[in-house]
Amino acid sequence: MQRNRLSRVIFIIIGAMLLFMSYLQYAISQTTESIKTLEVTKAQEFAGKIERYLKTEIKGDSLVAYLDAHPEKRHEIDKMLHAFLTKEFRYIFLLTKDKEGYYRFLLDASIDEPVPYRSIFFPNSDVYDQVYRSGIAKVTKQKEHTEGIWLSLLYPIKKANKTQMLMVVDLSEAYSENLNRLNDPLIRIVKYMQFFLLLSILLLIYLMYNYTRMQKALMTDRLTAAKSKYFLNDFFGKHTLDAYNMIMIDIDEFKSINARFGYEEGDRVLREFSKTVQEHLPNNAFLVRNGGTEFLVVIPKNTVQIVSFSQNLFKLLKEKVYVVENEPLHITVSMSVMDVPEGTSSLQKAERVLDARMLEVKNLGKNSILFVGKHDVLNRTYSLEQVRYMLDAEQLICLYQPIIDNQTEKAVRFEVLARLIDKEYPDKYVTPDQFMDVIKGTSQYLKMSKLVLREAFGTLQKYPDIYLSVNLDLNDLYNTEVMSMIMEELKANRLMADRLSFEILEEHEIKDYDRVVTIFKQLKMYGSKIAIDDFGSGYANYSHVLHLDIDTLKVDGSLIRELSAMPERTEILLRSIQTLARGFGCEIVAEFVSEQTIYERVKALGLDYSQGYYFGKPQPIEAYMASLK
Amino acid sequence: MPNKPAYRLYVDDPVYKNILKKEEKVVFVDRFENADFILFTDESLLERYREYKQAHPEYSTILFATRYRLLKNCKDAVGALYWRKGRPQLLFLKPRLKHHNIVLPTMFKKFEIETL
Repeated sequence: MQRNRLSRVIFIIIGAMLLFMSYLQYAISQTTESIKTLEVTKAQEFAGKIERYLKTEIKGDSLVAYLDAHPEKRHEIDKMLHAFLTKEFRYIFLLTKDKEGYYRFLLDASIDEPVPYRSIFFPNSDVYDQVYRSGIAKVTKQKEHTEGIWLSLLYPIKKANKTQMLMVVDLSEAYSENLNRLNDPLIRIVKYMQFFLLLSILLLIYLMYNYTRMQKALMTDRLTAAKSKYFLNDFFGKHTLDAYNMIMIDIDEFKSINARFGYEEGDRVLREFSKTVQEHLPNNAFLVRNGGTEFLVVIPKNTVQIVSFSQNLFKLLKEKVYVVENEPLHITVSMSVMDVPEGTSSLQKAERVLDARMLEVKNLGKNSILFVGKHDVLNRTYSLEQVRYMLDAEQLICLYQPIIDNQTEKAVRFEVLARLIDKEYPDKYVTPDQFMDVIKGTSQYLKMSKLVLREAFGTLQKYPDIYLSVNLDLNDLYNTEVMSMIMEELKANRLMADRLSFEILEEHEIKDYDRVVTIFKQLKMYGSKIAIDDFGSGYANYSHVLHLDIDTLKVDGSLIRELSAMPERTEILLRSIQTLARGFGCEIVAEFVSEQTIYERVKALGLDYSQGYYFGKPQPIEAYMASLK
Repeated sequence: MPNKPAYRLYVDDPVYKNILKKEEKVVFVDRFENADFILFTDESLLERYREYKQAHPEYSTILFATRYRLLKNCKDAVGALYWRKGRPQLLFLKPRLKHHNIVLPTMFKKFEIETL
């Protein structure tokens, strides 16, 4: 839209400049023309005066006959006419037509260059005859081969309703040049202005050409010929987002293709991949390369049924065979698909949702496809009122994710994960990132924590053989109200408290370790355990191990994930954490174990426990208990 | 007209000579008796012509003037080309043309007049 508007503005500017140039040209020609008209008017006034004088001086009906008969009068009139000669009027003379139709001189204002009376004159112009016949004065521009004459006023002198003489008043060319000289500075300024206007127009055209060329280059990804991110943003500047559906596609393990065959072959695979997708797209749909191996398909809603289309595309891409160095190659993709809900306007937000879903696909072990519900886009963050309503109605559910003993490969513990239930979308749980920020520090947080602890103790009571861990933010434990509630719940369920762990997340640097030591002592009073969540990232650092009584270190998922990309370097880091944990008597849990390769490496390193989608996603505890039986 | 012979012209004015020297069909001569045409450009040439004519009454050639006055003063001149009020004037006198049996092309007919 910006581009089109800019083009329109530039065209309007160019048009305005051209109009202005034409106006200048018109104005200057008008000025010249008005000078000419002024001079002609002056000549006509002179001619009128001369005519009146002649008619007064010459008696009788035939002016010519009188002049023929009075040579002394001719001489007198010639002298008077001479007085009219100025620098403007080069020649003034009077002609008549003889019987044969030839023009003959009667009177002449030039005393220094007198013409014999009745000598012949060839005007070499038809205008003389026209004026003689019609009796109407005319101005004529002399043809070539004249000397020093700019314009000629042909003025008929009539008597007894008949043209008897023709007065010729020649305007001097030198005077015209003089007038033009006066006009010259203005003309010069206009010419300069026109030149600079023309230059500006050319410059504008050149800039616009370059701008358009650059725009075109920016709109398309050079390598894959897919559209660029720039195009996408520009496109949704012009079109409404909710008229389209989107599919995010990421090629799995593409690094290995580059590593195995080299970047050139990798690029070729990318090009072929892009071509395959584009050939499969319906009309008006397009493919965008987000960067690296991530693509985005944008499809108008009324063209295809998004679920079946994306499933077909997924199948097609999975089955597609690439030939690289004479070897057949299959690639897999991870896809997240969004049926964009009505009212969605933020592309960034929609992309974030697709990204989050893509991450889930990756955690599930890639090579899969997940769909985004409308809820993800519309109400990503809940208001305090909405959360209060859900908590008051106890629309809270705890899901459980198993933590596996790497030796026995059996679930030994479950992490309790709180979810809210939005009645409008009951099949889609509301995750903490959608509401936690708004309830922290409020009574709703307290309410929610109480509900979670009760649910956890209820589960521990129902299943006496299992262990659970719940999440707590250390910052909240500084709140005495929260702490009192926890202690009350622990006291009420003290017989089961030793099967409960608290996973402490620390978002800020701990400045007062003594206070935290006291809090941890209180939490462990009834036998509960303490685990540090996301160890190895942010503030969950080595100082905690030094100062606090910790039972378990849960290694941050971002580190575990690197086992797949940079196994050797990550293993060195994990070994150092392992040595530290052993030294302080802590157990280690590896989070985000999403695929077998990672699990194998975690196991080989000798880490104690694993948690992640490879073993199971968060589900109601009954689902796991049924499988354990 | 490749075979047409060149015209022999008597002119003593260097300006006219300079202009006409580019004409292939014109050859300058320095004696009246050798000339097909004489171009009168001033009064002195007219005087010399008169003297020559007096001495050789049978002599006859075509005269052309570059001034109105010369045309008027020399009865043998068939025409003239001169400037009048900043405009070029070309004229021929019909009786004099007839005397020399000269017939002008159509395009020059409009410049033929009976009397000055």
